[in-house]
Amino acid sequence: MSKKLRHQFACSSMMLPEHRSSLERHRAASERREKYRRPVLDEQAQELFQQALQRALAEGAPLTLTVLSDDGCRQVTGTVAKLEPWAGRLRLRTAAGPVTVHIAEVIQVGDGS
Amino acid sequence: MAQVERRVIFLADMESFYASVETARNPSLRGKPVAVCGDPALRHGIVLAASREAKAFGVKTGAPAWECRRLCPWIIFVKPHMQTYIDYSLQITRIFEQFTDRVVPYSIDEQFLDLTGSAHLFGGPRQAAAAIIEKIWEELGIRCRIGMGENPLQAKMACDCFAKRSPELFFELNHDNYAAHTWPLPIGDLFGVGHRMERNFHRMGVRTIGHLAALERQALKRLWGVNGELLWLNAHGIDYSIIETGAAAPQKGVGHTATLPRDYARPEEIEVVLFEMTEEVCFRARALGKMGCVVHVYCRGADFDYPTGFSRQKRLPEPSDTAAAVYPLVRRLFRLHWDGRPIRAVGISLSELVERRPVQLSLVNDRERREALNRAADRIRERFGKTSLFRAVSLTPGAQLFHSAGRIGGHEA
Repeated sequence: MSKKLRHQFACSSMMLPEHRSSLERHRAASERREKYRRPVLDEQAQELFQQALQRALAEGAPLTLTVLSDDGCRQVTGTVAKLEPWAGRLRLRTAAGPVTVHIAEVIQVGDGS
Repeated sequence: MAQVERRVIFLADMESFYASVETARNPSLRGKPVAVCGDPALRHGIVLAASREAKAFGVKTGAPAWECRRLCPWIIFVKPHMQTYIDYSLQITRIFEQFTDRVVPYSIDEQFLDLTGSAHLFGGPRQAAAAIIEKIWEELGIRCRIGMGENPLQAKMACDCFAKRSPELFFELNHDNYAAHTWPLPIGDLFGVGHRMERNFHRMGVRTIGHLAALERQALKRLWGVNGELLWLNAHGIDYSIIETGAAAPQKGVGHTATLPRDYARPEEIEVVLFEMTEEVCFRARALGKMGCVVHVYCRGADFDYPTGFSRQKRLPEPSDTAAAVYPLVRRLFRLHWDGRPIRAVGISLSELVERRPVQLSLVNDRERREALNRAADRIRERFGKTSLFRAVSLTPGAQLFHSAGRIGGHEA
């Protein structure tokens, strides 16, 4: 079948280049959101998270957090320097210096060994 | 036998889109005759959109400003704000995406939606359409009309020929009712039939869509090739087109056309504008990471009553994205085909885009250096604007760079 028969609308579509690029940005952002959508943590996982955090606080043991933010997934290892539950933040001392982590972005907690 | 699921395709169209956006932004305009109109001083003084109140006076899209004033002396002219219209269009896309993930904008004010798999979630296609229409009215204050079909063509016909005139703002065509509704319509109402084709059909005695449908498919194919066949299929409501989401649909070319602020008769002046446009088009191709194989030049004469001008294309010796390589061909086409009469509008496009390739070894020129220079210039212009770095010719009287910078579609951003 002729290509024209399959593409009569694609051929006649009138799109301003500025509109086209805004749409592309919108699509890229949607895809990103879909890709980095935060998983729902189940209760057991949350409890493990709590326990590991408390142990780390009490013993000064290192902790490895998996953080999912708009920039993608990353891991941070360090000891807990400060807990700021009212601000939803956690400060870690890491080999590379202090790091602030938003608790809402943490999807996994492991011991740092 | 298993029943094949019928596709549910919508074409949603915004009534008097630019004028509706202006009214939504400035509610004091509501209920008044409003026309969005380009700048008359620069000859963009034609109506881009008229509100329904203005239309009631006979004001039409494309009419010159003075004529509107004659038809409706208290008409309110508003300057276009193109970026705002793009932003609204995108907001509309977002609303549509709450109903389906298959949304394909067709133009700034028309978008295709495929609700085949999702219409039942809203109680059926008709209910989904009503919900969409209501949501767009509630959230943006814009009246949306929806044509529904089993393919994009039926949806488009349902919207253009029926939904726009229906109080429900909705109309459904399908394979069963397509003929009954569309065949009595004049042939000019068929999607794909322009003025020229309409004249051809009239000469053949084909005055309605039904007349066309009654002809032999092969006869139309013999007359106009695939275009004739396509119109025959459209007359029968048959459409094989696929609507692809933007990410999947490859861009076929980059082009740029503009109406000049006055008629240009001196070749030097026209060539400056052609050069500026070549630079713009090459810049856009580079931004996409593409190179073009074919260059197309278009010039339209100044006299509306005696259409002159030309539209010609030629293949480049090798794909390119630099003005230095493309412009000589543009100039050659212009010098070869221009009849010397004043020009009102010009356009250039690069098509048959291919992925940008690593530089081929070329013996005759220093392409690598030129590309590095282009890259550096592009970065400067991206960061500081199009007028931050330009060729000296853009300071000559006919040049358009400073006029077109910061504009969208030739109108104020």
